[in-house]
Amino acid sequence: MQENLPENVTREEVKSELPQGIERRLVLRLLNHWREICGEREFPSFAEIEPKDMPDMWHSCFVLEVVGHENDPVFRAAGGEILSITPKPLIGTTVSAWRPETLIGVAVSYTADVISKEAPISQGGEFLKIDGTKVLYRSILLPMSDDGNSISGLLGAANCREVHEE
Amino acid sequence: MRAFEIHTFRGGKWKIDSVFDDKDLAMFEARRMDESSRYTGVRVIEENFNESTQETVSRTIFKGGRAEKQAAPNRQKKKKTTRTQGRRGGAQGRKGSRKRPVQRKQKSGILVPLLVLSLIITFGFAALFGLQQASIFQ
Repeated sequence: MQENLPENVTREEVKSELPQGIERRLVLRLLNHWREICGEREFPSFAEIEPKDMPDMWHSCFVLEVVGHENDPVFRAAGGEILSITPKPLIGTTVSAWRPETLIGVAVSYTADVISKEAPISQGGEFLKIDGTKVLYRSILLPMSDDGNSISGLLGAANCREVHEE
Repeated sequence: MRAFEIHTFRGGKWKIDSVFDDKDLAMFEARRMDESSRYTGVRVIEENFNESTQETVSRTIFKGGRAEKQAAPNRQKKKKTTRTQGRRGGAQGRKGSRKRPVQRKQKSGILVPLLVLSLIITFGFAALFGLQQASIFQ
């Protein structure tokens, strides 16, 4: 295909943000990280989650506390990307406080399923922001346990991209 | 509503490993897991929940190669057993076919005396009838 580019423009190959051989999808990378920590156990503990050990993922992660809030878990921590896209302060709020017109709202809409199934669940799809913009997203919620038996919290992650239709 | 559950074979039983709402993602992950040597068995179960009937229909859409390989020797064993049984059956069949002429011989052995007996009875009746006729004419 013939391109009319100015002479001073140099062509650079577009490279992926991640090295070759590394899973591109955030949810699968986090699921594998969770499995590695988990080992032969049913669930890993929050004490084993170190944001510095997952620099490529933590920015899209969040932590929900379940103990004492089984019906409506509470946000206890979140990565920079999540904090920057939430329209109001996130930490300390409950899951029910978030509407499905936000990424965090759709990402935590199935917390009850994860708690009852006691297994990681990944969901994706699309939602419409209040301004009508269509957003494609994918999220994952992973069960965590401090005693190794009962779920004490959830580690979640979500990312999205807006779709501008002409 | 559809869900795709990845199950792994651990501690002698199948356990839910993870759940996806996307078939391609579930299949990709299941294949990747199966290629690793970590799991002895990986499978993907598709669950379709019918909200009107409140029924869930499940079907296995992927069964990992390792699980298949594990199952294969058992299947071959079964096949061998079946084949051996088949051979045994065949041998028996052949034995049976060898026996058949004997049975036929036995049948023919009964048939001949029966024929002889029926002939004797027929001749006896004929002789009696003949004597009766002779006595009438005398």
